[in-house]
Amino acid sequence: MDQLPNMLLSGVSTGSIYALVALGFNVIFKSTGAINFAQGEWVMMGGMVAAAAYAARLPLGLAVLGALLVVVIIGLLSERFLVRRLGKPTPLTVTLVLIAIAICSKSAVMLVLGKNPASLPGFSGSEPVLWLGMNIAPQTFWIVGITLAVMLLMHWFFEHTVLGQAMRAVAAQPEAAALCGIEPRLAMALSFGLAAGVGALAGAIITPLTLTSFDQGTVLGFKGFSAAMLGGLGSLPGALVGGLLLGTLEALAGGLISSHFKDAVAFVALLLTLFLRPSGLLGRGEVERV
Amino acid sequence: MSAPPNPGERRLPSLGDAQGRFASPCGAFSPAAQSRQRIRHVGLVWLVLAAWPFVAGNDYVLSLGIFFFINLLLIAGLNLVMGYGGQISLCQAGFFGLGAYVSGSLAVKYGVSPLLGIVAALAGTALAALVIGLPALRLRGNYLAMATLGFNAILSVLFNELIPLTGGPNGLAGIPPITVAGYALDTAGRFFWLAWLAGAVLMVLLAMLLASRAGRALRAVSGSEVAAASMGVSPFRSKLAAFMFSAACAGLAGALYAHFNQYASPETFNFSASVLLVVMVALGGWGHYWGPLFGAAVFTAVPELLRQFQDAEFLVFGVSMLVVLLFLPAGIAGIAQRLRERGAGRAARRAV
Amino acid sequence: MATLELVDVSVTFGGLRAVDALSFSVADGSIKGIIGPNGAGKTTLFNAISGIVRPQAGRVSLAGRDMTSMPPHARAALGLSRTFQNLQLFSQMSVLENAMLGVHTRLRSGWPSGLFGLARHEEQFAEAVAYQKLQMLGLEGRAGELASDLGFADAKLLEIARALASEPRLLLLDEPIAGVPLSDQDRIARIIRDVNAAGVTIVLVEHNMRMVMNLCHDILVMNHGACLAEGTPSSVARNNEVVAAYLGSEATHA
Repeated sequence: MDQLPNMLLSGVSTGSIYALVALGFNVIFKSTGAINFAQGEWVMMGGMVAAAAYAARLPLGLAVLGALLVVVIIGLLSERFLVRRLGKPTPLTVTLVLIAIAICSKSAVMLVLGKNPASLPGFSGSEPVLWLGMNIAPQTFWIVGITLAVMLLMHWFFEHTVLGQAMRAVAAQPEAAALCGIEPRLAMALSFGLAAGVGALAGAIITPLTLTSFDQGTVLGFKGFSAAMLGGLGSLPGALVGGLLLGTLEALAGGLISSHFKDAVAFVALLLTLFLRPSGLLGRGEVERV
Repeated sequence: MSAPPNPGERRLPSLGDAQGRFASPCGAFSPAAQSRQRIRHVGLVWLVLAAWPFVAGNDYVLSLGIFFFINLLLIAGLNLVMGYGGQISLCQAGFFGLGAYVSGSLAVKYGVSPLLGIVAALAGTALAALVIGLPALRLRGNYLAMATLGFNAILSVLFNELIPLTGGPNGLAGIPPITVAGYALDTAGRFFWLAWLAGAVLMVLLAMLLASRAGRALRAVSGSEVAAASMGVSPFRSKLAAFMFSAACAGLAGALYAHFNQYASPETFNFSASVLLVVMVALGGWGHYWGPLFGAAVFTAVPELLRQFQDAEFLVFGVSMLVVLLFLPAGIAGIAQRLRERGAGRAARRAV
Repeated sequence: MATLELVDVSVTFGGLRAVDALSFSVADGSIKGIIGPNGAGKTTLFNAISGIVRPQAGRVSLAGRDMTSMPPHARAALGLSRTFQNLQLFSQMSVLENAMLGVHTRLRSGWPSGLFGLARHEEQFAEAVAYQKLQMLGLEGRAGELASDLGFADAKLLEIARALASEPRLLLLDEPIAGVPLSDQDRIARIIRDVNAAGVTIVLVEHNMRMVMNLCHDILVMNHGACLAEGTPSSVARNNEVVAAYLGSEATHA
């Protein structure tokens, strides 16, 4: 029980990452109705590319920013040349394209950057900091801080900027938005870029703590999706709530029951959400029962 | 037709009606006729495939033929739920493993006869699909994809951790072969015919299903869920039935695999394998009757051909899937159909 | 007894009241027309009747049976059938199979019978019914073609054929002749009259006033989700408020 504060902190830290990944899912779901199977791979690429850039002697800050840029470009290109070219962009076919993109990304990274895990140094060193009686890796502060900052930024963007509101309009009613002069393709491209950027950021900031490798993306993506469903698919605050909740539950399950069951938590959470409250904790009940 | 009956009293056809009064003028367009033609074609194709043991140089090549039919069971089942039902299942390999371990474990740990084990595998996978499908399929949208992804991950954990039952990461060894009336199917030469038969039976069942009320209902749901519901089809029940059937196909495939290979290990049944199966359905041509045949051929042959470049295998499959989705949505089956139509000079397109 | 009865039905989407405490009934064996300017809530009303949309308040009954909490497929089993304004055909199925799907509620076989091919005479029945409906609408020549290959007018005809194949008690037609060439319009009008003569109650949403006035026994005029006027075609045509809603208030003084 004295481990409880540590477990909670670890839960908040991982939960923040899940929240960022969940955010990516929400953005893409809102604009295409599809589940972005490439989201986890974008997270993985953020970490891997940053680690590779750092290993190639780039300064840490540049490595991270460079990785962000690379993955955002990949996200934009994916939308422009792949998703957009679909003859019939139903959620089913878009999801299939995203699965294909995920496969290609994962194997491309494996072929180019190798199968070995890669790491990054902590953003402000690796000396544990004493806080509230616990020894905390400084990276944890970065993770939580950046997550909160991103969440606030997203909130401001979607609620208070014209571009953000335009994107919400397109997501809600594409034809009406088009009639008002908002270009739906631009909105979709932006949502892909945003999701890729947020994902890559998540990957880069978690790497100093957990290392990264070419196959980390899938499980991380799944857990991020569970967090998104838990909070309510498509809901911004839901991503944060779902992510933190999932992270905490995982940490508690891992500490109190067994580490083998940690991975099961996300799946059980998803199943319970689907069974009991498909619109998630903060969702608005838009998910229809047939 | 006579006046409409009261609600709840839908008029059923009687045998008297069927004789003469409802002779179908539809001829070749009749789904029943199309189904009969497909079954005839299955007969022809399977006749050709029966030559495999005689052209295969050795047992290894012969066993590739066996794996072809096992893969066919997996991919054809998945095609039903994906191509005709419009849902993505990322757990086909998981159900494959579940079938293998249920039947294999029962045989190894409890001495259950493999034939009973097969029945248990079918029941077990169908039940598992029911549990996952109930919450996931009741909602609009593609939640089944993620739910099945998670379930496959859980199954992998179980296959690795339940060591007393599954042998853990080292796998389950010593699975007995299937014996029919004292005759053990323990060589590739003998087992081939069982696999060959299983493939044929599935293709025939699918042909009949697709031309039936239930099959039409499933295809309608993926065409327009709203219209199907308005015509009396329960989309939830249709999708759930398809999902359970496809899981059972995988369960059967797993049991057959276990008793032929006489060994099963968790890595065969992981999430990556499930993704590959989805790719194969797309490559073969999803929603096309003959698609799974092409998909199974690719799935069995390509890893052999790419043996040198095993690492690139996934990339090759991923890129091919993109090519199919963007440029050739009907997959290999679609190409084959277009060639056939050009040859026959037919103007009207037929639903495949 | 009225075939269809709506009592105080309201449908809201967010802040918008698409259908506002609407009540009306459709007499057995009659043809009821629903007209109104765009955005009046006619399609939402149809969706509420067929069960695609759940009203926030009110009751929908078919032949005395309360359907309000029933999903669409259960309503179809009671004898409700409909067409769609924006075409909801099964594009990857043949024309014949689309019509055959219409027969779904009159058949019984499920997955086991389907897999093992046990329902042969059910299938023959379904084919015969479907083919007859295609003949009624002049589509039998295209029975084997893919539904997605049909032009717009033929696609509308196919939707009607499919809806008729279930021998419904109540048929909802959502703008059946919108976008259809004149020659086909008269044919559809005749088919509607014939179907009604055989005992099917019909509710019709249409913008084509000539068809509505000629065909319908009774008309409901909607505006802003509520009932503006209801009555025979001639009484509705003379109603000042109706004219104002359609043509602007200057027209009533013209």
